[in-house]
Amino acid sequence: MTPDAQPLRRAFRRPSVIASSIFLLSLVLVSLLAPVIAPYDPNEIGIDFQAPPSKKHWLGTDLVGRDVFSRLLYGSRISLMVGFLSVGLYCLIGALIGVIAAAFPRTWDRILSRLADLVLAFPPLVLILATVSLVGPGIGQVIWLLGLLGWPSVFRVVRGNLLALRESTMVEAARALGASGWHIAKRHLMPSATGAIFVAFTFGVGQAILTEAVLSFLGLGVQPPTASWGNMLTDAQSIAVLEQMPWLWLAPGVMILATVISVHIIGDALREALDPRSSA
Amino acid sequence: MFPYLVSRVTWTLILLLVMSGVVYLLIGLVPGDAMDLFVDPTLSEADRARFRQALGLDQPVHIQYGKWLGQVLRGNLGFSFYTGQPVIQRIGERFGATFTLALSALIVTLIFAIPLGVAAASRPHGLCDRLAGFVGLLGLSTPSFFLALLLIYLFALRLGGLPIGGLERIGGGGGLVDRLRHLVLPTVVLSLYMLGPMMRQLRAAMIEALQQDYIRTAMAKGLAPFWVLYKHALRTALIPVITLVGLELPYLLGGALVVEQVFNWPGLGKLTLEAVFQRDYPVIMAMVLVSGLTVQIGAILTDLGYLVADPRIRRS
Repeated sequence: MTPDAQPLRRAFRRPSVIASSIFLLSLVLVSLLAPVIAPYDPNEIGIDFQAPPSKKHWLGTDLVGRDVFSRLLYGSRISLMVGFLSVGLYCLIGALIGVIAAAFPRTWDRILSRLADLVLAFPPLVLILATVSLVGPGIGQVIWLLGLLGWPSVFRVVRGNLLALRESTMVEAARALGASGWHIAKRHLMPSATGAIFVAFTFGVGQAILTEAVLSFLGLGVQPPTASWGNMLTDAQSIAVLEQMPWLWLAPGVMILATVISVHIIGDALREALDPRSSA
Repeated sequence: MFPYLVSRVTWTLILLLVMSGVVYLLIGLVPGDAMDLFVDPTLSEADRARFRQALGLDQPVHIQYGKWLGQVLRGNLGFSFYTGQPVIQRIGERFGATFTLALSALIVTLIFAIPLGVAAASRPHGLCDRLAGFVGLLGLSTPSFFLALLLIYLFALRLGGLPIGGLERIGGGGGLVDRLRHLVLPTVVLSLYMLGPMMRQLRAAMIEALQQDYIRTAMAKGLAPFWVLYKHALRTALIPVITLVGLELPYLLGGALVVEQVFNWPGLGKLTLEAVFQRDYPVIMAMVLVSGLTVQIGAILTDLGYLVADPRIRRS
């Protein structure tokens, strides 16, 4: 057991963090087992349309008679997939070029830092919308765009972390003891950077799930008939649906909220455990 | 001060130039343009060609970009493919609504964030702190469109009393009270989102400020704790809040897209979305540039805010 694991274990003993972890784990399980659990085909158009919740349809049916509960289960796959893939992609890019920048502070660092500034100089949602207007909407576009636009935050964290560590007495001492560059990277640089990446990853997943939901809600993300929590709320823009069929939009909205809040609670716990300076 | 402004503005111009080039290039690469949208598909090939020529769509991308850039420098952002109006005029028409909403959301956020943040910091891990933390977490995690729909459902449809959206009642003439009533729900949604980060920053900065020697001195002099908190500590602690206001400015001025969409608020966010749906590229381009510009303006205002708030920076 490394000394780093101690605060982590303490953080994960808090009830809110335990509850969030259980919720997210069951969500992963549900999304994997969706075909087994779902009582109906999520895209199957049934005979009861606009039906309120009943024993037959636990969460009712939507405007064209699809089972809301089944669509909710399948929607979790979209949210989790977009969250993990896009944020995984940009953490990879950010970490990789962060290491490059820290390794060559005179040459590559300048270019890469300017590039990061350039990407950060525009609100990501506006860039995503502009691109979607060009290439059309779709889940692939959402994943790629989130993945390609998110890296500067990770890049900055990794780069800053590594540049600070390069000058630290810890690394100096290791070098004086004759440690190889590889050994220093493995023992001293990587553990510090991984913690920061983990925190960035967690919060990133929460943000990505929210962004996907917004885009799909607007009709610019995941396209029907594929169910996503965001596009399940699209119909609620009509006042009639909003007023008379709350089952249609309440459940997916609550699921997004619950998922993102759980991710944020775990992110806060990770940040506190891995970076003692952040908790005052 | 002056050299700082010069370098800042230069960097802004470079950023906007590069970005506009990239966006323009992307547009040029994609098949399909305004022609597909407006021109009657039954037109003869010769007529189509005339339209393309009139719209300048027959020329290579870099020529089109050069022309466009030349016009932009003269203050002409082009014409909307959709309405034919000058883009700058469409933006001008919508700016007022967005500005009103942004200002109202910012004021409401600060009214709640400052007392809550100070109370949270004055007793860390106490009741107020936990409450502030929870509200902040909720605000950051709630999808704004869901909250907007929920509020419309509760306060406009079920309880009644507040309008479902729009700038004012249909036909207008409701006066100030009517406009304010329309402002309430969108303001709540935007403020709740900004409240969390704002409180968090303020709390952290207040806790740090409260550990300083001058706070102990003030307390030892026997000053009322209220004044020590709100006058001595808050002044220093406001600096990170200024940063955050600067960072949130682009969100408020363009990113509040969904909120404007759901509440049918005729601002810049809604304009951007309309342009995306209509493939109105001149408007989309302009909005990308405007949003980039607001990021830079936010950053510059932040730095100027520091000068006002922190005498140490002013002197150096």
